Amino acid sequence: MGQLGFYFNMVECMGCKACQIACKDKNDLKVGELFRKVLNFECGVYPNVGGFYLSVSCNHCAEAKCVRGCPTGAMHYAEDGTVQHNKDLCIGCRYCVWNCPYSVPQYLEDKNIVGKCDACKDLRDAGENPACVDACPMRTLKFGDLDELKRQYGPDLVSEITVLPLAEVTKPSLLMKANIYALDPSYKLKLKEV
Amino acid sequence: MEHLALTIFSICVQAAIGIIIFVAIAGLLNKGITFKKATITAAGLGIVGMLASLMHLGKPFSAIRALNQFGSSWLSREIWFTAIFVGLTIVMVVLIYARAQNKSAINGLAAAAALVGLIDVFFMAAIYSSSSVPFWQSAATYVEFYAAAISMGAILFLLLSINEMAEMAIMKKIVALAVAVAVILQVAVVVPSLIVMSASSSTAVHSSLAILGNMAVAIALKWIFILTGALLLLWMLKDELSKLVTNIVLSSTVLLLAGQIVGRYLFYAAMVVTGIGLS
Repeated sequence: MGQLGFYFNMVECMGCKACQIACKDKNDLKVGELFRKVLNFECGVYPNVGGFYLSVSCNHCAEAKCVRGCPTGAMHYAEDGTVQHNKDLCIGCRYCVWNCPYSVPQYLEDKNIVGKCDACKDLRDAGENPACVDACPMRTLKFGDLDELKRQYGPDLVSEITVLPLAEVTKPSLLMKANIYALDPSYKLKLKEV
Repeated sequence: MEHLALTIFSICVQAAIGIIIFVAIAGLLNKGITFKKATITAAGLGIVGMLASLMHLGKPFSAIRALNQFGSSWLSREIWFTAIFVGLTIVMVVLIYARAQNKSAINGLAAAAALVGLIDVFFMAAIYSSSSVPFWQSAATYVEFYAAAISMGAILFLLLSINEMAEMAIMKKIVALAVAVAVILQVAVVVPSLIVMSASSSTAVHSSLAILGNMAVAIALKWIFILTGALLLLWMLKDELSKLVTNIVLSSTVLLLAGQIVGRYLFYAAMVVTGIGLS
């Protein structure tokens, strides 16, 4: 099996946040802690307006800066190539929080360590999908072999959009079907606070 | 003061490294003198710095695990080298008390500790410059850290070894010139780097600059303190040692330390990680 990662269909996403809630519930996260979040970007002036929803979690990067920087080895690659976090090794130094260009790892105040999406490794080991994937009513999220996902969902998938850091930095295991507003830098996008 | 622990750690350890660098240089120039107060202060600063670094951790009692990844992590390398540096300075203090006549061993340890310390400052800067904080990703981070180590270390060494300077007038000149060069380099690299950053297209960089824009008074104080401290030291260069000169060195020490501490506070305050929508 090749590199595993998430597929996200931005064109179909309606921003319901079912994925975000399913993730929060699965990981028993406290207020303010999210391992997957849905962001709403908008641009333009009425009647010429545009925008999109972006559902993001750990991208399980092929060259993850969190893994390279971690002084204890808590951030590591699992045998399946995903980036995993060993809670028993973490000392809460927060260097991964500074290192991840996607701001994925979060410091969990109640546990004094960092936490992040593990792509629901326990569910996958049991032959199931990550919680976010099964929660999506529009089926915009998938998880699997990136080569297989490319074959299934077409050649126009991207790993980088204007509001994300350059993919060359960490090589994220992420494929997106993006809309025009997310691809064209001439659109001045604004993150809508919710 | 989210980064108070890291500010104390980096300032104390860099000052300690700077002191030992000048202890090592003085030891090479005059093998007969032992710089007891300077060495003890360096060891004390190193210990305080390491203890402060534990306050930053969520699990300070598990800090030993941070030594696991020397091969890949700048943070792990820094902790290794800081521990070795502090260990060497503690051995120096023990030797000064127990084997004061063995000056060649003390000088050798000082030279080794200075070398380890210089590498340690590089590792410290690499931690920040390799992170995903664009404001830290420049040569200015390295220059800030080395300039802080040299300027604080030099002036503390002079203040703590003022009595020994009567036998080593050359060290007074070396210290004053080292501070001047460090401060000139700091101004020459850090100020232009801020101007270059202002032309960046990164939203994270502009967020950092906006934070600094609200701290203009602190920025002005940093440079006024550092430049005044360095100028005072240069001004006393021509004078023989006296009560007045000692007071000038003390004033210069307070100003340089205050300037570098304010500078380090600003360094951490400007931290904005590239994130979604901030690339």
